[in-house]
Order: sequence, then structure tokens, then C-alpha cells
Amino acid sequence: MDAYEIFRKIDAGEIRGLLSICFNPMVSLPDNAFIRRALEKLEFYVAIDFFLNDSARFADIILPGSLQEEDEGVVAQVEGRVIKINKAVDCPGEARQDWVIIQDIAKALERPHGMQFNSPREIFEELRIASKGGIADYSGITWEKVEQNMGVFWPCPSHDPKTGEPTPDHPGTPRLFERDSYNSVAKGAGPFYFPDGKARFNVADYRVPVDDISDEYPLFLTTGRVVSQFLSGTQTRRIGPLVKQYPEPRIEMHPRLAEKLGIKNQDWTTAETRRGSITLRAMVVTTIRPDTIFVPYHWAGKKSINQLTVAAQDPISKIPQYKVCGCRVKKADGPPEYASVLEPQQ
Amino acid sequence: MKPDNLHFFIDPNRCIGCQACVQACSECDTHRGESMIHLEYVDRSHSVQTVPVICMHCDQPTCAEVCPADAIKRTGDGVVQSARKPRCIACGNCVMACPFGVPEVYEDRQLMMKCDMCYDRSSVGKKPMCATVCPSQALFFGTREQIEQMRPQSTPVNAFQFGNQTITTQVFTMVPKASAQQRPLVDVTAAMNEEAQARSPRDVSLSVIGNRTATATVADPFAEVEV
Repeated sequence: MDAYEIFRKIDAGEIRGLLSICFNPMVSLPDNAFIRRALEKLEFYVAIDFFLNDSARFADIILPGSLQEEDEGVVAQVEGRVIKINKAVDCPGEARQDWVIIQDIAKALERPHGMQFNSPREIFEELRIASKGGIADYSGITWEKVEQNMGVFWPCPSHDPKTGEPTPDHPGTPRLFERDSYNSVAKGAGPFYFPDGKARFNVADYRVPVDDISDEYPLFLTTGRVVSQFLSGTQTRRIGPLVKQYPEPRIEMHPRLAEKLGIKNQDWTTAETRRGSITLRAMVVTTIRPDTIFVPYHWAGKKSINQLTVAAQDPISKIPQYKVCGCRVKKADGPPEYASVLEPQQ
Repeated sequence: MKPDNLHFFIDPNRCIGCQACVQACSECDTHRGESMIHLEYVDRSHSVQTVPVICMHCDQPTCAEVCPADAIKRTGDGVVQSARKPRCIACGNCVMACPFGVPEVYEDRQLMMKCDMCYDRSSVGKKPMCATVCPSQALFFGTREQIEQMRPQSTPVNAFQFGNQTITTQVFTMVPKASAQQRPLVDVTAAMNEEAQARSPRDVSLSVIGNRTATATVADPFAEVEV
């Protein structure tokens, strides 16, 4: 079940309770009026988070979790490099590491089996065993190896898959799909993850967007990120120098569109879709198509562009269509009410 | 003293605008909360290209020459230090005079502060903070041999033309090798004039380096898009 499906099932009454960790769907999921209704409908909601985020406000119980610098463990980067994160400070107040909170809940539910680790290292040793022989094989990775080599790329098997001999010095795999590489799907037939070891070109047929442009909504709305904010902004909207770089979302538009609509750079501007509207300042730039507007998504409440986005999802990846829906834009009469109000964390 | 063989090299072409240098700089204890490096958009209304601006550490620093309080000192290793607090009167002469736009006056503390190449670090052979975090080596601190090996197509240049004034600096800018051989000088004033001309018709001509001029007409990539 994907993240959006959880909310459809809440809406259908199939899910009545929710425990979330570091989850802020009121900012990060599309058509968030629906998300709000679902969160309000939940009979019981527990949120584990390091700050009181915009979704945790709907929770019945909030359990203060930990930041990365308050815990230790490993992270696999996007390139498949496993790196070590070291603990720098203790959790403040009653906050505790997420894995400790989860184990305590399991204990309280009298279901402690498999949830009785004493340290992140013990959890990592479990991951080594669990991943052995798989595509992302951690079995040959140790914390010592990670620290000595500035990270180790998976797969890194503990035993040679062909001979079964121990491989304590396996260096990991900085580059995947090398000619004679071995993986658990092809079993030596070739380097790619298919039984014959060959790669495939997948044909993707074009499909019109679910909420395409029309006479009524003639422009494309596309959403995305800015460099100074991370995900739903729970951390980065609290850091002064990052807020200063890009303090609030803006509607990026091309000068030709701006001229047609009588909008100048910095003017308060309203964008509307079938699901909602938002009023933000315009940012007039030639680095965008004239038939498209762009708004970054990291903000909550009336500054959230996900009030406008469509909940349609890709049938395979389940990624929502954040990048396209029909919208219309006009100059606003003046600043919106929120403009004079600070965000809760400010 | 900064070791003689270590130099600062800026390669603005490689800047991806990630702001890591700005964040790293602003966390430093000696000027906590303020970044001494400026990451500027060249012209955000037309491009997302950014350029990192640090103190170039001029051999004859204009900022120091115009300072009425003699608050800006250049150490023997060529590093131009930030204003000396007991002397600085926050008049802002240096802000006006610096050809690279580096110094800033902080009104709340009545003091000019600027990049000092992380003197606490570079004076003992460590990289300045911005150069330690730059993921694309747009900011690089090391030896000439290292940069020549890393960037075989470019040459470090440290002479800049501002009208009639030629300024030489401790910090190098990377320019294409062919252009630098012809005339190893970045003509800043010429580049500024050209940018203004190129604004409305989308013609971009480049004579940044020496007297080489290349003109290219950049077609509007969205000419076919109807509004």
C-alpha cells in the first residue's frame, strides 16, 4: 500500500488508527484538503516526530523522536554507498531515539519478539543477515569497514556467491552492472536484474494528464523544490539562514505570461485549480515555459501548493502527478490574510 | 602564515548554486551567523547560474587604501584581513571602493566584516570552510599542480581589468586555456557593458577575456509556446 492509499483507506473507514514516523502529509501529499479530512476522521493517531509538524497537530498523542545527530547508525546514499552517522548530542527532554520508542510500544503491546535490540549496531547486524544474498547485500559490510573506507557500496557479500568461500576483504561495489558482475536474480548469466542477465528498454506510452489543461484552466501548474528547503520543511523552515534564502513560496512565471495577465515581479498573484486556490507573490523569470507556472511545495497551510495539486497517481510507481495539472492565474486584489501572520514555528 | 604553495581557485562555471559554502561560512565561530561568502545569481530573471564571491585578496587592496582609520591590514602572506574592530568606524568607504563587492558593514555592531580566507585555518595549511564543503570544486584550495591536473582545459588567472585599473589578486579565477594564452586578463568592465546590451534582444556576446569577442544569438527556447 502506498502513502496515498493509506488515506483512501482511512476515508473508506478501513483504517481507523495510524502511527507515523517523520511523516508530514499535510505538506507533502497532493490535494491536502482530502488529507485533512482523513486525519480528522482517524479515531486514533500517534505521531513520532522531532518537531511538532503540520500533520502531527492532528494527532491524539505525539511522541518526541530524535534527529539524526541524536542517534547513530548507517544510511545508504542514493549511489548505494553505506555511510556511518555518529551521535553528536543526546536527545533533549523526554525525546528518545525512534527505534527505542518503537520497541517500547511493541513491549507495551506484549509483542516484543524481534523488537528487543540493545543498540543500533545490533539492528545493523540483523540487516546484514536479512540482506544476505539479496540485490542490496550488506552481509560483508561492517561498521569498521565503513569507517575505514569512507563508506562501502552495496552489494558487499560476506561469502563468494559462486564458491561459498568467505570474503572478509570484499571492497563493495562502487559501480553496478559491470560486465562480469554477479547478482541474485541473473545468478551469473549477466550483469542486469533479469534471469537472462540482459537489460531491457521499457517503452512508456504517453498518457494525457488526469487533470489536463482546458479553456477554464489553461495553464500547467508544476511543483517542486528549492535548494534551501528539505522535504516538508519541518527542519529547514526553522533555520534562519535557510529561511532567509527563500522565505516563502512564489509563483514563477514567464514575462510573456506575466505581461498578458498584467502581473509584475513581486505582485500578489492567485493561482486556482479545480481543488483549491493560493495567493503568493509572483516571480517573473525567463527560465520557465510561458504556458507553465512553478510553485515549490515545502510550506504548510495557506502557503501549501498541495492545496491545488491532483491526487492522481502513476499506475506503476504510485508517484502522484505533482508535476502537472490544469490551473488559471490572475492578479490578486492584495495580500492574503496569512501574509501578516507568522508560521507556528516562527 | 599561509603556506606559499597553497592557493584559492574559483571556477564559477562549476557552481551549482547549492549554497553549501554560504551555510558553512555562516556557522564559523569568528563571525557566527553571518556568511562572508556571497553566492550571487548572475541574473535570476534570465538564468539560474550562480557565482560564488569571496574576497580576492588584492595585492594592492583598494579597501585598505580608502580606509581612513587604517583598519584593514594585509598580512605578509598576501591575505587581506577583515577590519580590525578597535579601528573600524563603519564608514563604508571600503564597501563603495571594493571592485569585487566583497566588504559589508554590519550596522548593528558598527563594523565591516569580510572574507579573510578563514585565516585561522588557511594560515596553518587547512582549507577555508567553503572549499571544504563545495561539492563541485567551484571553490578549490590547493596547489597549482593539483588544479592543473584537475582542470587541464583551464588556466588560473589573477589579473582583472576595471576601466583603466588593473588589479592583481592572490585568488585565482579559472578561465579557458585558449583565451588566457591570448591575454591573461579578465576584463570586468567590458563584460558588464555587454550584459546590459544583450538584455532585450537575446544576443549574448562574450569579450570577458582579453579582446576575444564571440557573438552568439540565443534563440528564445519558448518561441513556439503560446500563452
